[in-house]
Amino acid sequence: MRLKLLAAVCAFMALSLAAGTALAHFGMVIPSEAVVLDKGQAKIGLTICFAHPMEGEGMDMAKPQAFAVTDGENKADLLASLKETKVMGHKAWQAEYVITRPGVSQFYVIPEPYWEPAEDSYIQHVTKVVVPSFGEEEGWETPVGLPTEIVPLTRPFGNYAGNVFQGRVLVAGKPAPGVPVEVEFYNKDKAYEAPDDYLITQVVLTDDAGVFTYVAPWAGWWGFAALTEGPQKMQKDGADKAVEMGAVLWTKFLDPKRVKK
Amino acid sequence: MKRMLAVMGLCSLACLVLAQAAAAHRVNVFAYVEGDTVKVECSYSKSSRVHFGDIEVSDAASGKVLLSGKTDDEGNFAFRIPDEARQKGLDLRILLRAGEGHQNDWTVAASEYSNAPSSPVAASETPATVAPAQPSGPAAAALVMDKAELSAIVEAAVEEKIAPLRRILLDQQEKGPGMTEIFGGIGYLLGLAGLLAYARSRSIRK
Repeated sequence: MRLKLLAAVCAFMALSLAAGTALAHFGMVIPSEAVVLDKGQAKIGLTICFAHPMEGEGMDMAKPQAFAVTDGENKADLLASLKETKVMGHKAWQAEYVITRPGVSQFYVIPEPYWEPAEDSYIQHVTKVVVPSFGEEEGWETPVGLPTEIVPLTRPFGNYAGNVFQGRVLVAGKPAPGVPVEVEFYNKDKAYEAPDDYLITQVVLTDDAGVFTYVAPWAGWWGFAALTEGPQKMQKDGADKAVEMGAVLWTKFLDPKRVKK
Repeated sequence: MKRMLAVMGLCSLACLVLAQAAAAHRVNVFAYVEGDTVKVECSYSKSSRVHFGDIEVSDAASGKVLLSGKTDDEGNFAFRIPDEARQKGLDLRILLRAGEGHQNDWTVAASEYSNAPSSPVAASETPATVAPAQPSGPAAAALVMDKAELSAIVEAAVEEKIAPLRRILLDQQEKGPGMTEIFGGIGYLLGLAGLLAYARSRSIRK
């Protein structure tokens, strides 16, 4: 009898562990340098993937529909520079880009919608990251003009861990109130572990003006994903399926340096 | 970096002392090589340029001043790479003094201009004037140029060789089994053990 019970418990454990828990998805665009101050840093690498950043679990990512950079005046299509790579053991993309001038470069990715059977839905995370160069910082609040987008109200670079961070969520160019914004840390070297599942992904809602507020508790890359349902359905096996749209912004918070005395 | 912090510190100090209305502005110097000319751009930001800032170009190593001047009203300044710098392969330190404690600097390394074409005048001068009277001049210049070029080539080659290794290292760091895989694996093992135990318990009872 006791053995039977043990068997049942073990089988249950195996099943539940294998099934896994529901995790927050994040489109990711992570530059090798958060800011470019001198020419030695000017050649930056960009890693593009679709993942659960806190747990360090990846998903295969198809070649994006668009990958480009804009400084508010000029736009450069970088899709052709993408090379396939592996991130967290899954298909991902990488590119190199040389920043040649002072400016504020907004890199953005529009991925192919990703079919997620666990959510019976497609997911499309429009993702961006803002890299300033050579001391210039004007233009970080300029929207790129994406279908859904986080427009930062806090300068999205040069922030300390513990700074408040605010952004406005736009859907089709209009502020979106009451939208959940999922927040995750890019736990790249698995230096951190969530004490329980609620702490893997944190959530804030946008207010009536579409503004969300968050304080990054420790240093590193943090991602904000504002989730809305897309205006169009997509077909899957003859059935209409919803498309979860994410407006994702990645930004790095830093600790100050201690002056050695 | 340290220098920049120091400059920023100076700037904010100046702002405090002078009780300026404007917030602590960082003044930026940016320079690039175009042909035989170095173009310098000085600004507080895209929309706020430095008006007639003082520029001093010196040998980064010795501090010897090679030339000086003023930016225009738009913060722009341009100068032809001095022959002395070209011959000796000097890194050029461009210092901007925008007044009231606002200053910053930028260095153009010799490697940045040694590959760029020199002006047609200089180019035609070099081979023509290999005069027996001063054999060391142009020859030495050629040697220095070669050295800079060589180091650039070596750097590029090493980088090319190292890049795949670096990628492999990065891949390995990222590839290890995650917590979910580990626990999932343990779960499977326990589950199998359980099924075995169950089967055994049935056969024992028989």
